[in-house]
Amino acid sequence: MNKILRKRLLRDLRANFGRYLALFLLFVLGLYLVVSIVGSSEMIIQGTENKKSVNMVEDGQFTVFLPLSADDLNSLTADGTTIEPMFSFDLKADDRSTLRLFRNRDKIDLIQLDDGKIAEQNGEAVLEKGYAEAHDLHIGDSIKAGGADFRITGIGSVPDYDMCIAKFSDTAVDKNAFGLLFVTGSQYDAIKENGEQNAEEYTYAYRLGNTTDDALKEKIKDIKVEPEQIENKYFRETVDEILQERRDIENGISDLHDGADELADGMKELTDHNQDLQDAADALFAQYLAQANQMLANQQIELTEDNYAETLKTLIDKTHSRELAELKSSLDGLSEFRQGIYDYTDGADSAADGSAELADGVSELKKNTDALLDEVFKIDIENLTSFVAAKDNIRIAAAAGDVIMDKNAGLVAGIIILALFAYVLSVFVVHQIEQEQSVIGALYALGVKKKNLMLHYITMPTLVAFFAALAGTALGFGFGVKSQAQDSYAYFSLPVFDVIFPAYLLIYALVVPPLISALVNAVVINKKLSRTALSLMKNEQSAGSYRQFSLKTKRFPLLFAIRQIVRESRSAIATVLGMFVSVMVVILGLDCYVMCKAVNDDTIADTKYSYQYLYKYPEKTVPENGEAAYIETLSTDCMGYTLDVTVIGIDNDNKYFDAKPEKGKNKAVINSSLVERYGYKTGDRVIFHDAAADADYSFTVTGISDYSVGFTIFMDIDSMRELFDQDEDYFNAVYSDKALDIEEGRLYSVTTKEDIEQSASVFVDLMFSLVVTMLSAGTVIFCVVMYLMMGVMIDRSAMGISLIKIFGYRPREIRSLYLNGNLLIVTVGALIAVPLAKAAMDAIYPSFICNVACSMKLAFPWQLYALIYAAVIAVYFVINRLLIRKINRISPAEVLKNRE
Amino acid sequence: MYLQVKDVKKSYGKDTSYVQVLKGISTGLERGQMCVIQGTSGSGKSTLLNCIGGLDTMDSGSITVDGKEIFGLKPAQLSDYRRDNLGFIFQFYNLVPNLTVRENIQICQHIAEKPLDMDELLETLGLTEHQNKFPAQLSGGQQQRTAIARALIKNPKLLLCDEPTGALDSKTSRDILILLEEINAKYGTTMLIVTHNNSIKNMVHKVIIIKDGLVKKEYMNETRTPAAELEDL
Repeated sequence: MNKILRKRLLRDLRANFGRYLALFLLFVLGLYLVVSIVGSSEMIIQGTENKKSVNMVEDGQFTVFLPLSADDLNSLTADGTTIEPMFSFDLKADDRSTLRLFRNRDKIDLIQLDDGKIAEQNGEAVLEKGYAEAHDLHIGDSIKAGGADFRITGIGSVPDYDMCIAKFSDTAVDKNAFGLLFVTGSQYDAIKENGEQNAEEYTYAYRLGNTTDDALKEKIKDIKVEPEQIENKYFRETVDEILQERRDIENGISDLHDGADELADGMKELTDHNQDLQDAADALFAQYLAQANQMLANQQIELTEDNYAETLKTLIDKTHSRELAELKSSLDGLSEFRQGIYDYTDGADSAADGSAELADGVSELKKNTDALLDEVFKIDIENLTSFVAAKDNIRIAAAAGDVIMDKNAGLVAGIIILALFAYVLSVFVVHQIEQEQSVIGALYALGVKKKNLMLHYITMPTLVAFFAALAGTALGFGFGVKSQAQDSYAYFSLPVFDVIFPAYLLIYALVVPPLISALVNAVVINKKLSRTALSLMKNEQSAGSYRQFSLKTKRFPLLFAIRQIVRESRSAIATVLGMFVSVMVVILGLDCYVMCKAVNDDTIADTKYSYQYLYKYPEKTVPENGEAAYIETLSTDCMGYTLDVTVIGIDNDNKYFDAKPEKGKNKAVINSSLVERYGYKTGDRVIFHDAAADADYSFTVTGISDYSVGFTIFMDIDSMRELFDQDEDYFNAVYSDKALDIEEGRLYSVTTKEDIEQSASVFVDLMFSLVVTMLSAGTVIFCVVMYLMMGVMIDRSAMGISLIKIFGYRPREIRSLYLNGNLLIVTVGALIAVPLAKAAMDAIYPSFICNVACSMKLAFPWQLYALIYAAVIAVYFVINRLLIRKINRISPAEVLKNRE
Repeated sequence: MYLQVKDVKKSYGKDTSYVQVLKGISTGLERGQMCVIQGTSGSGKSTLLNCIGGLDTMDSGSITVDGKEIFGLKPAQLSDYRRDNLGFIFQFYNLVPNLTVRENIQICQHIAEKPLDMDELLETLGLTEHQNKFPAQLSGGQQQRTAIARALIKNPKLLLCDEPTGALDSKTSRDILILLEEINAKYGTTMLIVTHNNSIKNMVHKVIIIKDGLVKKEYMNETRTPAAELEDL
């Protein structure tokens, strides 16, 4: 019996060729997309992992003010840690693009050449592949940068610039504006000596020995910079300024000390004659008292020091003698003089004691001042300026990190698509069984077993699913993986990876589709075949086969359309589900486009300055026509990714930023990008991390700035200086609307508005192919699902259509009865599916860009919604035209051959 | 003559699978007559019915209904012909399963220029109490009555019945035939009934017997037996 049934398979295939072909293509497309997306992600993730040992990828890197000494290096590498200098400086090419110059590498982050050879002689260079591609440079070509000519001997990439951005805070790669150049050591030194370039960056890469990142970091933090080591004139200048202040304080203290000593000596000399003064005063008083006693000798009165005032007063009262009054006055004067001498000498003694104590105190002060100055003026500056472990370095394995989300999204999308396919399949199966139930009943009656019938009906869709899976997988691995990876190759600086074939993906792509097909069919067929042979043969419809409800409308076409929709609810649901899934795919593409366009437009609109100067060695005075700012970089977490948050301290009247930050060390205005990503609002407390200091900073949000560039918060510059313990006039950035005359050696970088405009457009360019792919895939899925499902609806209604043709219905009337319901499904379905798909996609979209600190404006203008809706309706009408042909082909005699 | 069939030929297939089903049938029917077409399986009776109903095309010959030739009509014209003139009743009812009794009847009411009164028709056919039921909730006889009501609602001039009692038991068959008889009397509907049932030929005005694609015999019943008195249904 099985052999006989098998003969039907090919006939069934021929009879339903169009349907099976559409189903096949749908499966192929879906699996091609899944295999392409997931396969390319795996290729990059595992390729990056495999290259770690080949290219000796660093465990981390650190940057210092001054190159480490041999002793320092020996100390740091004693535990087996490998450290290699990765010093660099930036050269300007003729087209104003920047080329970061490195020496060739020996031990860490080795150059992976795509073509050519490493630079071996002066004048030769290896060029980073992205920059080479963007500038159409090839091996043998010459490039001029920083006043020097280089002949390109090799083109390649390095793992520490997988995401080739100049600064960690850069939002996007711009291959037109930034690239890398690797030359011999001697060439590097020669250019450094001759060129007028930005400050050299002293960065070291390390591969850990028997230690940890934290332990290494602590060791490096212990390394201090001695002032005399400093060679860079701008750094030297900064240190000299600090030293001058110290010297001024030291001199002042010294002068104070000397003065105090002199004072103490003088006072001592002064008090040495105190007794003489007192003796002389006593002698003078005694002499005058003796003279007075001689005058009063005839009155037998003896005046003493104690009684002279009382005695003379009594005598004067009795005699009213003027002589006695003058005598008393003279003695009073002498007594007061003598007391004055005593008071003076006592004061002089106290002063001498005090000045001696002052001298001692100043001596003590002088001793303690050195320690105090050591504390206040840190001349032994910590050499470490930044320490970034590889896991926190957004430049390393960035592509692998980026595609993890693609991989997850691809797998989830695959499950959704397979679920949709399963549903579509079940609709087919139900339709086929219902069409053939009298035949099935007859076969049952003839003794064919249920399992044979199940096997028969499962075989064809399962075979279709299997061959489609095979074709989709083959196309995916053969073509799609590399094609899909082009986006990553175009954006990141990656070596060429080999395609890999993960076992789970092969099972997912090859086994799951036929398995799902078999399972769905088994469940549906089993249910359908549970009826008795007689019931099947008589083609009985159970009373519960159709949802029974009464309709009040008197308009027959409307009534009929509603009944038809309810009858075909399974197909209608599949159509709306297919619409939902495909619109989601389309919206994913549009979200990409809308967001990238907004990033582009807003970045340009929000960049109101023409020049941004970032200092490595800040000046004391703000250059004329410049607006000073203080910039620090903190970080925040986004789904496990560490993203930079730029803190900009500005004056309240800064004309380049609209933010008006309040004074306060924990008050900040946050930008709209942070609001869009994290939903912060005014009054919230936000916490950002300082990786270098391993500290958290908490801010109260006092306002929201409509500034969309990266993740940015604004603080009052004075409050920020206080928070980060900087001088009250400190700044490290200057904004200007015209070029300023600042020595290049002081600067980290100069960014023009033109540079920003160029890099802002990168997203739109890069995402364009993805947008097109998504729009195309979504449209194809939608068309196929809609065609299949509506085709099934028509097939299932063939009897009814045939019947009403017999009754004399005209084609227009038939269409209105059988297709108007579809129009209702599509119009109402689209009204629900489009906003629902948009909401669903917007909800999961942040996970796709969790490794990028940028604004996320996903709002569609109403015109775009209208366009999507119109496109859905337009697609419906195209498919409708095809279905009309199908309806026209149904013969009135059909009803005479079959039964509903 | 209301229905005139002249030398109608119809064949299917080519070469080895070529079969000529109708080999030159000629017959006719007056307005208001009831006629039975009988014949063995494969004799061509259903094919003739389909050709008269404009559901199938003939190779040659002529069929006129109320003076209008249907041979050579385009599909759209055939559609209008059926719409304006015909009613169909099938052996297996062919009701639309997801429509109620009333809604099934509305299918034809919707396209009729002067439809009969729905409620009156439901009453006549004993369907008033079942009008909101779905076909699966009805007995075979009730389903066939619904199919008859659907055919009659547009008050057709010619009612084509293909084995109208073929799927029914004896009692229900009798009820249906009584109904057809009453309709013929009430509305003067011309009826062409294809049947295997030998008893039915006694209730109609005319009997046509077809064999091997030709009219073997045709005759008018001088006396008709009322459907209620038919035996061996």
